[in-house]
Amino acid sequence: MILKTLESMGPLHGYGIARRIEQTSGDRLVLNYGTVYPALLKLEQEGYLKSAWGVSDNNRKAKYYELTKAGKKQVAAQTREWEETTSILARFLAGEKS
Amino acid sequence: MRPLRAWLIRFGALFGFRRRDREFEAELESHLELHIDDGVRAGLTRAEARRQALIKLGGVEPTRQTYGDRRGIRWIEQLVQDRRYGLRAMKLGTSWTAVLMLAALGASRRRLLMQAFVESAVIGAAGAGLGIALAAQRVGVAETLLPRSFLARSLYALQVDATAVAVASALAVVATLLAGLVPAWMSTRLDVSSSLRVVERGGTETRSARLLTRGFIVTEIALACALLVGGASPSYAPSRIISAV
Repeated sequence: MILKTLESMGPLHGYGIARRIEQTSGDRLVLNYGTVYPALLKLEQEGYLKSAWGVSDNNRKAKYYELTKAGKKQVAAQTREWEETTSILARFLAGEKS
Repeated sequence: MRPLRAWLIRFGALFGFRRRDREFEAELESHLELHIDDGVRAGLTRAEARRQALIKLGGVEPTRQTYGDRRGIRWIEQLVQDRRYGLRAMKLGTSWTAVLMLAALGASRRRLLMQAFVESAVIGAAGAGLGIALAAQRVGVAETLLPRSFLARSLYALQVDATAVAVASALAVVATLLAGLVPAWMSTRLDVSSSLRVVERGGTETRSARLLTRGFIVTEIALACALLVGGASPSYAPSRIISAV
């Protein structure tokens, strides 16, 4: 979700990412914002993200995260994998109904 | 490759973790400020907005904790802290203080080192002797308890191996001598009065003590890695290796 958010929104800070994830879910997903940071760190350690300090719209210093090339590939791969999984599940569910 | 890369970075994070801590503190502060700004814009007072932001964050301390768990390698950080604590306790311990006191009273360097050498040699020899006696006794117990068929099948005869005893005894004596001589040697190189003050305050480590802590940790990890690699690789010929568990 973090990678996808960054893909669609471009560079964002941790707070922005957490807010965006909640908004995209239509507030059905309630996040503890603190949990975003270990996840961001993990993705950065794996080389999917890079970070740099910048200034926010309201003039606050913030650390911005951005997708790397590997991160973009990972979004594409994970999206494909997810679509395949859900399509398989959909077949099963459809089969059970009929 | 990704997990390996992540582990290497986590290993690298063990160095300069104070700087990284400061950076994460700044990031958390900036997160809270951004959230508070949003709350104030939505009509909350600043205090209420901060309260809400902290609740939504899930608390500052748990966030710090989970982030710290992911950043480095917890057990190594723990090891560094334990060693630091151990060395500090050693400095505060009676033997260290006694050496410093003797130095303050005017004992010569040679005399201090000699005293430390004799004390450590006696402790080392006693330790090695006790270890050998214990090993001999355990071999006897094992011979009575283990089934004959198992003993007959085992690759090596169950006995106290002379080479292993020699190597273990030498290591025990060397380790004890080092443990005794290093503090004595360091104390003769330090300015006694300032060292005593550090001991009294339980204050910060001196540069040499810090180097010593790092040296211990590097050696310890190197030995652990050697054991791990040696244990895991089938290409190592075990015939000329003495194993000590």
